[in-house]
Amino acid sequence: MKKIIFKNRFTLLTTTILAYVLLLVIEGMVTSREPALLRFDNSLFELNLEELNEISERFL
Amino acid sequence: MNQFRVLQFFALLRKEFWENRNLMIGAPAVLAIVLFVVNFLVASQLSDEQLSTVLGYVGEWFDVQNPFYTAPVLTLLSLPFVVVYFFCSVIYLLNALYHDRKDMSILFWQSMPISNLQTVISKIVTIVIVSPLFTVAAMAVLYSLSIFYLTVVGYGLGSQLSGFSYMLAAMAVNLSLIYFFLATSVLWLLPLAGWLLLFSGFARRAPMLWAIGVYFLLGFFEEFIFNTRFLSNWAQTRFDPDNFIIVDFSGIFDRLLSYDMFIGWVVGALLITGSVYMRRHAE
Repeated sequence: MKKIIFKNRFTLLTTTILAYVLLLVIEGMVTSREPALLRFDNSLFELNLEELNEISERFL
Repeated sequence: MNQFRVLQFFALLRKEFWENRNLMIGAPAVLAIVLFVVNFLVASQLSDEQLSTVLGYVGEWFDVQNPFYTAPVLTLLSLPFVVVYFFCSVIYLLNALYHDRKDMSILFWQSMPISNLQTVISKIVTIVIVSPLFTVAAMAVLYSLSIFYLTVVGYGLGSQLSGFSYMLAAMAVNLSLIYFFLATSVLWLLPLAGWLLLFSGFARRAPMLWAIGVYFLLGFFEEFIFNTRFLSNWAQTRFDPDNFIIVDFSGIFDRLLSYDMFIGWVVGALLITGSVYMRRHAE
């Protein structure tokens, strides 16, 4: 296993990225992570991009 | 032996500084000069009466105010320095492991009694601790020159200048706040630092294209095949400025002791480990 991972830079990169993706997916599933960036709330206007997605899905 | 290790590490930090002095000192110094010239030009456009009114208002606002209360207001002035710092840090990280492979100096450094781990850690320490020092130093020079200039002008116009000593104190507090903000932000963005270092160690050419391209491809395939958004959700929450912009000292401890910071360190450590092993493939 160790020999395969360290065989060349491509196998090492693939292994690192796989471990990275696995960690993020597990963490995302456990915490039900949602992006905070989709919501812009202030006193002047309110914009929720998730609502826009729902609207576009209704039409499409 | 331990003392040797410490000296060795300091030598690595000096090497990083020496090789990247344009990014660490040059960029903030040029920005400070540009901002000082712009301030000077703006001030010279105002009439004596307007300038006296502005100086009087500023002096009055800072007078007898707690510097810890007024310091966060000055954070807005530091925004150009923060932007330049992050821009330079990205360039530094992308070139950190790429350049010495490109010019083959990696063979020299690997012949020295320095491990790959020490080399990579020195690059992380450089952007967390060393580089913000120079940014803050450039800001300190700009602040000092600006206050000196305004004091001389205000004295000539007979303005009320007693608040300027409080402004000086507020700027000192602000500079320390900015230093800790920059260091905490890099720790918050450690997964990004690890990702850039990984591709800096991997790419034969164009490490930026590799780093951006692979992330977008992963996100695209995740959504296309599995119809999930774990990667994009992660990136969006990590890069949301609300999550890492700090305007007071209590925010630093709140950020450092949070779960999100901890998981960021775990992910960052994984990617940094990958970049350490990537240095083995120097061909």
